[in-house]
Amino acid sequence: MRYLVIISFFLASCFSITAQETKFKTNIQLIELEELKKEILESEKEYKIAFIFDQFCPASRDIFPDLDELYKNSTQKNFKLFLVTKTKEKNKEELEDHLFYYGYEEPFYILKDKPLFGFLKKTIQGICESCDYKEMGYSDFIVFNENNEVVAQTNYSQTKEEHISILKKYMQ
Amino acid sequence: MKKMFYLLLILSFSVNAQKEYTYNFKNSDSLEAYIERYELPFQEEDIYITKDFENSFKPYSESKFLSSPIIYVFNAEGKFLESINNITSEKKLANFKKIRKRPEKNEPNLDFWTSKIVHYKTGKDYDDPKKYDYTFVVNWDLTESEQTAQVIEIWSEWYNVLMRQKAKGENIQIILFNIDLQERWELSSHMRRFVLENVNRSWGE
Repeated sequence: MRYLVIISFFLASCFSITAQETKFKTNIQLIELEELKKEILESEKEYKIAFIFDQFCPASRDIFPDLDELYKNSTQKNFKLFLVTKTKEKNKEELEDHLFYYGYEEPFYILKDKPLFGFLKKTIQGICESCDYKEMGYSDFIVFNENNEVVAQTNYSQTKEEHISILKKYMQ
Repeated sequence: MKKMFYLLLILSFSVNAQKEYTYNFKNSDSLEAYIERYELPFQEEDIYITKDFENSFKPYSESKFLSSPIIYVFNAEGKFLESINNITSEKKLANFKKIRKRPEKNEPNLDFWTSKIVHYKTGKDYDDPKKYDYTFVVNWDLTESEQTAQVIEIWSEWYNVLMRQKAKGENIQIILFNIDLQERWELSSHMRRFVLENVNRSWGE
């Protein structure tokens, strides 16, 4: 009888663990810019895509569902996405809601040392010295290859469709 | 810009404003074919239709609630809290703390809906004795227009986020309420013609 209770308890625990695993969880990480750069450089993926995001920028919000869909439909996962957001640490809950709504579970980075001014300039320069930050806006991205060379850099004059077609090339 | 687009979309999508589409009677096969064609993530058990013409569809169509895409939210007592459209959906559906707490005065309770609906396939009355913290009635229809892709995206987003909330442990009920004219009402051919003529004339104006 005692064994039966133990087995039942064990089975119940397993079930509750499995049930918890199916729960959706967002993955927001707090990171310093230097650490983020290190993660990008050290990633061994074929392509590393640094995407600059602002939850309150219409262009960012507009492209995000497509980006998410591309991510979910990619089969080879030969790339890694680094979504860096302008969101402040104190507004993490709002970002969580946004990601929950779209069902996005991949890492999303909030900068612990987010600069008070010039987020775009400082973040882009911090990740990619050779990139022209003046040409870039929120929803733009930089693609590095495995040797950390820039193979694509978008700019704000490009349309969403152009962005998507570039992403499709690298998000296989 | 996108917000503005969706606002216009919602305004134009109230059933009264649909111009191009010709309404016709639907049945469970047409509902399923539509769900399959547009890959809607809907689950069978959540789909409901109006029970009959005279006592269900007619009073419902005379109310201000016959529009789509829209969600009506009710509290645990079945009191109407608010309606959610595509502008407010992200804020409210991702975080229930943002849903209005105080019921709207002089608005029909959840019974207004549940007394008029049956399951789209089995034809069984809505009968769920369980009490939910929130009930979400998601109005949808089988219209075809230039906006179909956007509307499909909206319904999918809404249903998916509500299912995520359920999986997270929220005690909620989702009613996917199809507001089309239904074969199940078994109207006489004369009545069918009359309904179609009126619906297509008044909704097409």
